[in-house]
Amino acid sequence: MPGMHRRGLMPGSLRRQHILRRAIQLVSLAAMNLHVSGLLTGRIFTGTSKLFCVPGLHCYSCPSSVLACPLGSLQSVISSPGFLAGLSTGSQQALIVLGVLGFILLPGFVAGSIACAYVCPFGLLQELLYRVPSPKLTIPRSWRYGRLVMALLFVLLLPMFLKPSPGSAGDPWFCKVVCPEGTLTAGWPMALHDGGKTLDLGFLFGWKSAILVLILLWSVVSKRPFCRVLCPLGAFWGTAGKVSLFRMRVDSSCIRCDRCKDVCPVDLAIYKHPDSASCIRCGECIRACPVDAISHSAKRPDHGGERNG
Amino acid sequence: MARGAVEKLWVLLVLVFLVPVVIAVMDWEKPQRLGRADLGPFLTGRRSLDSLLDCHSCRLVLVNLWATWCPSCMRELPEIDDVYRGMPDQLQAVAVCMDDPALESVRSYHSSSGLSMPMVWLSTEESAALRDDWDLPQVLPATVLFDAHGSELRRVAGARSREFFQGMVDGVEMAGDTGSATGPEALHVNVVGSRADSAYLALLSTAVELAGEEGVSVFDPGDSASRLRMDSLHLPDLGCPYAQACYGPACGRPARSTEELRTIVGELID
Repeated sequence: MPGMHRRGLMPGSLRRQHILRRAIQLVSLAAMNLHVSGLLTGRIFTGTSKLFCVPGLHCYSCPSSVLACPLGSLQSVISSPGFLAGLSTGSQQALIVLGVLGFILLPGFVAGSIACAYVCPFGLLQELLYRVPSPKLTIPRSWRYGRLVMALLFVLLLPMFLKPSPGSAGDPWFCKVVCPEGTLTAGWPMALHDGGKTLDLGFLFGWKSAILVLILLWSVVSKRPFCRVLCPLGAFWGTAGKVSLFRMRVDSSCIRCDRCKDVCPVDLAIYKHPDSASCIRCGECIRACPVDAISHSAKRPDHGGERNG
Repeated sequence: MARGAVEKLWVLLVLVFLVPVVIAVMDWEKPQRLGRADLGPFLTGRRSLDSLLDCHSCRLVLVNLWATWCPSCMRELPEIDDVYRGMPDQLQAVAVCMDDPALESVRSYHSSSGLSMPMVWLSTEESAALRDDWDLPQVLPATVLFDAHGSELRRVAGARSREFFQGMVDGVEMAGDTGSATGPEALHVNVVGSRADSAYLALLSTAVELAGEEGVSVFDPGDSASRLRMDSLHLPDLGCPYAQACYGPACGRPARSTEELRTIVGELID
């Protein structure tokens, strides 16, 4: 129902959950961007923390970032020359990529896409943009396959196989032609900083800027469109989330009122698809449900309504 | 019917992102054309060199052979790069680093060089193989010019000026292309090694015999001050004594025996 998410009409516990989640998102944003001087100097931080990835979409090349991007790190390793040969011989690089993949997938196997709800800065941005009053559009459910193809093609296959000559390195194609977060937090700050000296402002810059603007506009009219349709990280975590330790459970007291869908940041009716890969485990539907039918837990509640989450 | 089309629209959305990929791949067919501010690619291996030479849309391919221990080479690389930048799409130029085993220091030279032409590093074995294949002189720098079909048009040994290279690619006969254009006609030998080593002493006495006392500089990799001077001249530490000779603008590869040194100096002076 419209207006359910407006302040003042929210039940108390839902409002508290929402504020808590927002607070964690903002603290995460600050924590991953401690290198504020980078914004003034135009220099990318290269300290030890850059070995570690943020659990979300934030560009390594953002001047203020103190962490690396999991997708960037993954593409960088698998596109390096000799990686494919190394896989078959068990080389060190192959082990590194398995480590990165494991790091990326592990939170997904524990609690699905939960980092999308609490940490990812680009998800936060889309949620804030949606609050801008406008006509709103839904996204067809089938479009969620888009992000799986984006993950397979632009993060895995193209960096591994598309090379200018045999023996040379591949390219991080997702970063190069897609990632709007990278454009916003790395491309534009660097361009603003010195107008083309450190960053080539050619075709790809224009292309990615256009993509960013279109996605930001889309975020005004639809809920978290990038997350649902294009984000490879969401694809990895969401898929792992289908078999994760903690899962969304909806018990038989559900009355199908759709209040969960109204408050859901990704427009999901959780009672229809409790194992949905799209669910970001934000926990707001749990508080919105008028009959307390929803939980996020590791154990399946029995029919008496007992719950552990 | 319309609903079915909307359901499948995500496919189109994904395909749209392939457009810049295709554009980028099409660009690979052309010689690496970069802006003035851009550093060219650094590749290794004979296969990388061969794929760069296999340039279908190039009218000319200029291959410059150099090494970091060759000061004349280092001086002329920026000049060649200027010629390369000024000739969009017709000229492929490749800087091939030969007989220079210290890959990491070549790589770090490349990243601070500001050179836009592609650079290829060859191992010692690959350098020897290239010398055989192209019948190259024992002298660096050397530049070979090929036409669009891979036939050799011209070759020069020794460093040249930018005007010379520009004239070379413009097809104009430049005067004095068999002689050298820069540097005094004097033999200079850098001898690297420890004084306790008899091989070093033998090389040193041959060097003094050929170049005179003033024409010889000595370096000891075990001494830190000497090491600093070696690094500034890009002289590698090969783990054994060697003598590296330059005659004017042309340099020979490091010689590990006195016979080798005499052969190289002989070729340089010719």
